[in-house]
Amino acid sequence: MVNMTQGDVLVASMTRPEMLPAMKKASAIVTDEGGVTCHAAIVSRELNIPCVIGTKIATTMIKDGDRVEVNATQGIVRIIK
Amino acid sequence: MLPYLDELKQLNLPSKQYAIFGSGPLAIRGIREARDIDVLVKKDLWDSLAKIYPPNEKGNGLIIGHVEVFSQWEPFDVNVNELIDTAEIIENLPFVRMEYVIEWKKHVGREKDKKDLELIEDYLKSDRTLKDS
Repeated sequence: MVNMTQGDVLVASMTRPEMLPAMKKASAIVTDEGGVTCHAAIVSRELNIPCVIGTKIATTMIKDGDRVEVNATQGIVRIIK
Repeated sequence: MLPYLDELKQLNLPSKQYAIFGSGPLAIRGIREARDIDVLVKKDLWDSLAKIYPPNEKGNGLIIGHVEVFSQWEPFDVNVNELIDTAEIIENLPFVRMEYVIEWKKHVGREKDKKDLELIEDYLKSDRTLKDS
């Protein structure tokens, strides 16, 4: 999380309160786990940050530096080659 | 950020009968740390807990380890049941909604509440520059 820069997409297994500074830098958040009441869902809604939760595989499929497109309306996360 | 959640979960309080308030709603979001957990409970639950657990120093709450239980959020004229019934579930635990926290802190207006209000304002004021462009 220390490597997060403004506008990065934050990809994590799940988010925790300690990750708020990184979340505030994120242009979007993607998690492996969680439901509609998870920390990522609550905070992203309040901060108006697009968020896709419960992908199960985001952290295994997406690597640091990958370019990704997040469509939070449709729940789609796409790795852009 | 919010310690002793396990302690609270072990109490196995009945759902819809309690909500975390005080600094808890701030801590669960990561706005600031909390040193303990304050829980607001409905009257029936308060009555049964008061038979088991000792009062706090001020006599307005009960001490259950690191969890402090209250039946009122003074000075606040919002109905306790409403605060609990409208609680927001975050990570499977009920938290008093942030709008009530803001209202309460504005109402009380102590120095620490003013600081918390600044932190909440800062929390809600994200840099949307990249997204707006």
